[in-house]
Amino acid sequence: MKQQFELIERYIEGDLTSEEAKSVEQLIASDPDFKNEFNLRLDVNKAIGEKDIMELRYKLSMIHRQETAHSIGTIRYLFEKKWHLVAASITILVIVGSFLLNNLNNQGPDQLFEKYYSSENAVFTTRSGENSENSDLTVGLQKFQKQYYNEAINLLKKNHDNVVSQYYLGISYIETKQFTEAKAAFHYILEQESNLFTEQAQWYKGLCLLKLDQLDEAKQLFTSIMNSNSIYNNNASEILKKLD
Amino acid sequence: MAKYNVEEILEGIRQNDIKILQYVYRTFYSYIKYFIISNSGNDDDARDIFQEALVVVYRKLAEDQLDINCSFKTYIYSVSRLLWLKQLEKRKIKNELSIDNESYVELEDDTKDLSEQNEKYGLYQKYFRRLSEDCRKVLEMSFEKISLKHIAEIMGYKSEKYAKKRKFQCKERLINEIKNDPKFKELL
Repeated sequence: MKQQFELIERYIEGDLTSEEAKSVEQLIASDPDFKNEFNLRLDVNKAIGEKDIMELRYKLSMIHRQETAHSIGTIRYLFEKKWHLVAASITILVIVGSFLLNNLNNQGPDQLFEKYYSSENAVFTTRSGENSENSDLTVGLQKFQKQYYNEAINLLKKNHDNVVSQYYLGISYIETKQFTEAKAAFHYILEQESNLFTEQAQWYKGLCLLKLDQLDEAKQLFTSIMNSNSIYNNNASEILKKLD
Repeated sequence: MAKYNVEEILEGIRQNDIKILQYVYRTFYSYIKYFIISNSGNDDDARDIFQEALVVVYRKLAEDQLDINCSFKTYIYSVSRLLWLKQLEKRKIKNELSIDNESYVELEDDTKDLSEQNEKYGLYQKYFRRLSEDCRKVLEMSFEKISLKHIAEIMGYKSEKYAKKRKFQCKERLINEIKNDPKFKELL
């Protein structure tokens, strides 16, 4: 089977001798299963090439989540004022529930993390010509949006003293399961004076603490989230009940 | 909220413009959701059907095969209605609609084929997005006809031969995931 698959792939790429190619063509004509396999592989290639459609679906999912789930809302205006170095307009959206585990009855810290962690994403457009001042950040965010988290990390960590950078760095670390590093990035944000990311940073730091099994500190943090006006206060109180 | 006419909406969809997409969502989603939920569907069905209907519109625009002679609301309702009837048929639920209050138009003949292709590609793309980061990159680059030598350099692989092997592994992983999805057989 594997050999057949490899033959088809090489045929699609034009990597066969004319004799080999002929034999593939004969098989396509005579063997319906082989033909289906060939068509599937060809279609998958076409589908991978549809970057525009994937981008459209991604945006539509973001919008749906933004409109229906906990919306942090559009902060474009604030962003342009506070973060003039990168002329990107960012809408922060929360993706909810994509990592739900099936078995929610057994809820240790790991399960709680899986239940409550939802990766956060940014939809942004960068205006050309205005973003040259901090291209690591701009490119880092583009990598983040494409879910190339390792590359995003390499770029974003160069901006030690930028809360936006540290925030997306933190999420990228979570996505690559580097929870200690993620915790440090969120910690940095919380050390700064009140900023746009404080509520999110508290919440994600709390989730990292769950994952790192640092439960006393996690409880402390979720208690302070619960007692604040944070958009996460209900979630924090649910987690605290389950941790007891 | 600003209002847009049908031409502006279509241009916005064609350009993947987030402002217009947001407007479309806010203005028309509730009708579609009401229609789906009143006809044996749930919230997730409504989300999926609305999203796929917009992707179908995008595909038609990209192929220059869209000529709307009605309001956008009527058009998107007609496409969503077609997609939902197909789903009901697949799920073997009687496809009589108990509520079908909005006006709709007969769609161009190719819409059904296009929607089938769209469903198939949607499944393939879903699994592509779930691949590991390096697999996605290798496959994307090879689709863009970047040479194996170059791919090896970019990815830090030790040889061209390894890049080739990795590319094949990634493609096989993707194909396997697709084949294991229960929807895959339905789509054949």
